[in-house]
Amino acid sequence: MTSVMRKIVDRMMFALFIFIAAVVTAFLVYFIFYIVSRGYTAFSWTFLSTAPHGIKMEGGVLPMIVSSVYLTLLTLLIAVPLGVGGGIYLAEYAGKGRIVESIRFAIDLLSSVPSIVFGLFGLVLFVQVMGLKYSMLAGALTLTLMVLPIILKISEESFRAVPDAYREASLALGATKEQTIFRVVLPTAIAGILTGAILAAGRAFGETAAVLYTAGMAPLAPVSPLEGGRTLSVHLYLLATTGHLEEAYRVAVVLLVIILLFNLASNWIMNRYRRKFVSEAI
Amino acid sequence: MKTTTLLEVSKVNIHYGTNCVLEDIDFIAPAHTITAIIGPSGCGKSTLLRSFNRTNELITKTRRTGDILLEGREINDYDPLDLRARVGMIFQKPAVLPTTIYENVAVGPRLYGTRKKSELDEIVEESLTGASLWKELKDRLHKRAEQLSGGQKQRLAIARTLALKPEIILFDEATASLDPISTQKIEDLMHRLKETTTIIIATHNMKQAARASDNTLFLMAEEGEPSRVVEFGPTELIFTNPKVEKTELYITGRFG
Repeated sequence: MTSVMRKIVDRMMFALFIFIAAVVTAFLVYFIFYIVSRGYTAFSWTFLSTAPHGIKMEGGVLPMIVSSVYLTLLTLLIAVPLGVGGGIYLAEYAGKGRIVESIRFAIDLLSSVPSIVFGLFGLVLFVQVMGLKYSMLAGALTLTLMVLPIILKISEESFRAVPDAYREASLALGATKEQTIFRVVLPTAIAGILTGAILAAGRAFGETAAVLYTAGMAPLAPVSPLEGGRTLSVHLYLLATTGHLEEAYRVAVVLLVIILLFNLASNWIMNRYRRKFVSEAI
Repeated sequence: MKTTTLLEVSKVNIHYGTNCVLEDIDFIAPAHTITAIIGPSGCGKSTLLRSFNRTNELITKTRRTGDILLEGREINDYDPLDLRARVGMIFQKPAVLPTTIYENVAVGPRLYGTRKKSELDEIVEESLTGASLWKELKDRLHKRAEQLSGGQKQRLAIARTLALKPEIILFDEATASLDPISTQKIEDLMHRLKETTTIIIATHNMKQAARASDNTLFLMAEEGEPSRVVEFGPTELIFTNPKVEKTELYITGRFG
């Protein structure tokens, strides 16, 4: 190839990548603009602070916000200790071997199961067999199965990112392995674990299929974990499938904003965490 | 100055799996002295050093035969956790925990159950003073320790070890990643610490061994064989009038 040809190809590829980036960005901007332009009336105090009423579900989304937050927090309450515990086992105790490999394989598999399958499983096991009915608890247990791989993987990686020098220093002081894990490794890995928890929270918050048949659809704010409720995403789904599109867009805006906040929080934590490790490497 | 033997190593062999890395190691570390272990890279200096507070067995599967006696008692008969409090260790990479300066020192006493703030304050002050850090850092005890310089971090690691009032401190290439001035400070510190502890250092820096130690143990392996003691004796003699030709060749930099 002549040098002129090479330069032309180089320019063309550059233009092509710019074009692809522009298309992706334009699509995203249009997508967000479209939803916000149809649902911007969500930015109103009445909408956020009142309950829906009437057959067309006019009015606010307060019970849905409560249900979503309730369900997310309850999920984290169950999933974080389990996920972090599993992460500790995989990173600190498990060696290499067939059993550990099969655990990892199972975790990867679990993370790629479609959420409707989790919903169905939760419906059978938690709602029916365990008799929890449509409840926050049944929903949270189902979501726990779904977000567990995220928390587990990220906490395992955070534990692995803790320099061995810390463990050595702690062990050389006469700390036991348990003391080393809880007093040195865990505090060091906490930012990574929080990131995992926030990503999991974002996943749980936006989930529809796994929640629809486990936490129910009652448009009421739950108090006890044995009561059901309707999350924002389920509300959105029901509004959209019953033709209340204007209402649906407003709910979509609320969902988008909350999920955006989750992502900003996890980015913020991740940046702090990375900076810390970089400063340490110097 | 007492001249009792604090650590006695006799006929020690260390194996990694089936592979023997150190064979027939004999030496003694009298109380209040500095012993330098020198030798080429990979001759097992660190492995030997780490066997003295049994941190080897935590990370890799090593097996030891022969005796290592601390105050006349086999170290395997001590509780390993107590042993590690009595035999402290400083690593090449200054291990500063991602917390405050204060907590970095207090972590050891806390592990052993000291909870009272006044007691911890006292230990922290004493230990930082012992590591020549108190004057520099007393106004920023509750600042994060990651911001310290490399030399300060290493002295902080020493303070953390001192907080447990160890009888022996092992320095594993502790100045290898420091600049000359920080190195000088650590060597001065070792010299002062001799009054209260006994020090064993592993170093590939022969000048350091010559400057800082009282006794020198020179380890080396023949091709394909485990490392053995080539020579052990007062540092002055080893460096001025070695008995073995290999020692002379090594310390004058002609091989190794």
